[in-house]
Amino acid sequence: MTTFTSVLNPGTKQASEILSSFYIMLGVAAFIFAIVTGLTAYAVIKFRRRKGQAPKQFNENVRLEVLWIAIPTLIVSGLFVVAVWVMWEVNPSILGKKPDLTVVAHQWWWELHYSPSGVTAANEIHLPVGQKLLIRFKSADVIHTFWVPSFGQKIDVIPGHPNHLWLTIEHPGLYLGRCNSFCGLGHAHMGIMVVAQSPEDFNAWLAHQQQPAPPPSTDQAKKGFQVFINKNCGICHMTGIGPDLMHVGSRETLAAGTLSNTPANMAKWLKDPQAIKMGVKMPNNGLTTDQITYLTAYLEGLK
Amino acid sequence: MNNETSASKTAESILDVLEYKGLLSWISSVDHKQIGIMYFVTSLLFLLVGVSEAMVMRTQLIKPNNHLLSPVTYNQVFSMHGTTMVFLAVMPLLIGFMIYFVPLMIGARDMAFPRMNALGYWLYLMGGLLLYFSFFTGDTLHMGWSAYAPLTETNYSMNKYMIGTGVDYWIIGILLTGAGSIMSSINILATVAFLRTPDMKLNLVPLFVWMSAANAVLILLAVPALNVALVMLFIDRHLHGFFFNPVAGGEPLLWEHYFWFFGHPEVYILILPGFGIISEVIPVFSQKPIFGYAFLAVATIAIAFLSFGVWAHHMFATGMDRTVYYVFALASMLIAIPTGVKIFNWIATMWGGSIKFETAMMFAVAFIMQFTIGGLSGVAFATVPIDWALTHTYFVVAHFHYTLLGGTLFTVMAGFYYWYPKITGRMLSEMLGKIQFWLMVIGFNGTFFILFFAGLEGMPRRVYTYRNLPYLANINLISSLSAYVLALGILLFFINLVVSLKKGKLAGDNPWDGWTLEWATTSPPPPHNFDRIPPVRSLRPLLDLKRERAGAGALDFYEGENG
Amino acid sequence: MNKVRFGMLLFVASESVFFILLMIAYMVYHVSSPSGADASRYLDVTRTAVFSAALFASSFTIWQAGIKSRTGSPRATLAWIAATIVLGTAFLVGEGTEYTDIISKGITVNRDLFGTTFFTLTGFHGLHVFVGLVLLSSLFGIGLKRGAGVGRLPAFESVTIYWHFVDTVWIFIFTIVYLWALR
Repeated sequence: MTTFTSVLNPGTKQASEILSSFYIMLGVAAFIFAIVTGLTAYAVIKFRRRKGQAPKQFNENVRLEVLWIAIPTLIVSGLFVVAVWVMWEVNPSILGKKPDLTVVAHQWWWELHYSPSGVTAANEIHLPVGQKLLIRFKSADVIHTFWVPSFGQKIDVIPGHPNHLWLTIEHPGLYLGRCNSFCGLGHAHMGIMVVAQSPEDFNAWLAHQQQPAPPPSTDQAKKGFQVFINKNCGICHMTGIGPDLMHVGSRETLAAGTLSNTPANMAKWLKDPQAIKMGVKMPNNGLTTDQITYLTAYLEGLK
Repeated sequence: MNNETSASKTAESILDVLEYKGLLSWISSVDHKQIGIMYFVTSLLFLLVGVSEAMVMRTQLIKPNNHLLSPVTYNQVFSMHGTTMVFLAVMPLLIGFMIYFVPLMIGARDMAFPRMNALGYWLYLMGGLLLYFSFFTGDTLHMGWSAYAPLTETNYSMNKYMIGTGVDYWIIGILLTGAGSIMSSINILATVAFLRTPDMKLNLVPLFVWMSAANAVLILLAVPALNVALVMLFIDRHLHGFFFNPVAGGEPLLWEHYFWFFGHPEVYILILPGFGIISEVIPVFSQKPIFGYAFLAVATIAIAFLSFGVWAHHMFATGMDRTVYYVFALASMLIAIPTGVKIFNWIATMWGGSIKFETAMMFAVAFIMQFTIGGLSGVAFATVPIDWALTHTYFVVAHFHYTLLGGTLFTVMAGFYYWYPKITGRMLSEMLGKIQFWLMVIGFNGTFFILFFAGLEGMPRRVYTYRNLPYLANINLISSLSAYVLALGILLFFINLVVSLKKGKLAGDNPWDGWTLEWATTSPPPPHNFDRIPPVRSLRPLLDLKRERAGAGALDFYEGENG
Repeated sequence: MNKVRFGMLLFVASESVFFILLMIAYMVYHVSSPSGADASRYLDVTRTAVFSAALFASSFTIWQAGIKSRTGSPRATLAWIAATIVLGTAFLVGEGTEYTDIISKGITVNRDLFGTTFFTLTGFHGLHVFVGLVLLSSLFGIGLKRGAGVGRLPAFESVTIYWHFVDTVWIFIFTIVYLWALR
């Protein structure tokens, strides 16, 4: 699967539009910079001090002044038109449309609610390719920013101010992003992963998410389930304080992109979450090695 | 000329000035030159602290997934780096230049309110010390210099890793330095309005003074916005108010609005006096009058005026009303026009001149080109969709370092190489200066140009560690290595400052053939500034004097008519 | 115009920004927060109007003090300054009564956004009145020693400007908090 990580590698219609406006800006900037540098360089070389030559003392030329007020004004007006044009293209009015996905940002993970299916997930965002999607953003605590470079537009996620974003993803693939407004200790570990799939694959995934995960089958997993109950993990993980774990075993990463999801990493995480992601709400639960093994088996089985 | 203008017995070096001997003479001083020097020394020390913090950050970021520093430490370091550079280093450095040179350039004996001048300095110093004292309380601001609510509210800033006192020290510290800078701005404006030598009409005021005055207006009207926000935050934190706390309907966006209503004029506060320095340095070293004096002055006023109408471009990603986007995008783009006017006028000043490449001039020329990059990348952020893509990333970091480091700090360097002889009576070493210049140009551009690409390749600001995405490792490695070169250049500057104080060549009154009034007195100026103030009949009174002395008609010095 | 007066005008301009932004915050939260409407149950416009009148009157008395000092009557100057101080104090006492009253009804800074914004806005204004009273008292003290001359000091002029400013701010606060928000 292709991985998209860069603003210069757009994956959506909107991102392509924004990138073209960026290239226009880059062209204009390069042109102006070339003029400024060219003139400065010429002046610096040509008008170096020469002994015995007194420079002519001129200090005014209204025509020149008008020229370098008028031309930048024209350029800036052009850029303004580009800006307005692209804004309309990228961010049309929502006109009462219901969002396809609501993302709730927490310190330091993403809670996902798909509609109309009602599926709840966390951190790993699955989206279909080729459809114009409306995504809604809310914050559960402080200001975050949803930023996937290849999606073009980023949006601040502000408590009390629901925001939205339009996406028409053009290429299937893995899109990496992160929280982009400083949101506290775990800010650097608030990754975003979007899996863009064909509509069929997406629907299959959605259907799978609607099913409860299979019950623990192995001995270890059954014991792990007991640990999960005894340690009251559900107090957070089934109430939205921590990420929903219904299908945690099927996800690519742990702790919002901090670790790749392997049994070894899961065990490491369970042993001491604070050592991996300082400040995270999950405490060190003081699990024994056995308990960690069981719990890992249980959680990794939640496919 | 020496005998004419400095008839009284004067010291040749600042170390010999009798009035400046002893600690008490400094603590109790109300002399604008002494206070100016105290501003220089203090802010340069804070600059050194800020640079060290930057080096710590660049070292941490030298490779991906680095865990040398904990997030707690890194967050404190980047927050204090921003706060220090803005409030404790660059702004007071510029205020220092204003306080030292505005009275001298307009032929005044001192500032309008000398005691308030001293109070402003002491408030600034105490604010800075308080801010750094927070390190000893075990907690320091760790939300970035913009300190976005609600992260600064007690419920988010206190946890088992942080006791949250950092925010309180920050609030009080910034309030104090803010009060100090408002006092300085009132003082500057009153000085320019009332203490100009009688024949200095408004159209004969040097551009540095014009720009200082515009700067003072900005400080006067922008800093209270920050003060309001700080006071409201303090009430939230200590009386359990709800201004910015969404828990009870408070509005985090109000903090952003108030902060940037201050913050955007603030970035012009951080550059206008720099423009002023450049407008003095370029004509003197090109041996030509400033080109488009009136246009430069008007452009300054236009920038100052517009700067109050653009704050929301810092908030383009917050999801605002469409009309708001249009208004602020347009206003932000318009600022590019007066800025362009300045750049072109400076180039036109060099055009046809006879340019002397002393260190000050080299910094000025590098400034023009670097600031152009900073300004153009700023226009990118005024173009709303591009802002959506790139705000909060390292592209922003590169952009504002091009304006504040490649811009302001380079003008400050030009200012020191130009005026150090006047302040101390001794020249800075030109050889060290040129080495420093090249180290800084190479180091600075190496550090920051490549960071534009870091932003494009997906690197967010304010992270203590980052994933090993394509290109990021190499970009950051190059950036960090260049940063060490830059730091070496800055270190050389400090060495030059200290060594030249005793060993530097004696400067004499007017080593650069300058033509504004500060060069009409001795170096260092006597405590009363002038024995006699030459008549001001043009923008270049000292040149007039020189011509007069050479005899009518014998315009051997500079030929031509308009001068 | 002299430099002291000019400096005070600049200071007042800076303070105006401070108060304008506080008032905007009050209005924003009055509109956005449900507790804003609540205010009418606790604020008493008539009572506030009475002690506001005292503050407005004090602008007149300090103006008179200036006139009397120019005509050179030291006693009248001092009397008008004293009247200004009394009126200003009356205002602060009135505001104190209001505070005690509504605090006793449970309205505090940490109750809701009305409490937060109301006490911040009126409190900062009250603080400015208090500073003005300190300045006026110092002038009164100087006046006792120097007679009518006090009215010609640049300090007197700038305190007058400051006092008018504090008064003007209250016109706006009264309009917003007691007339607009309680309409």
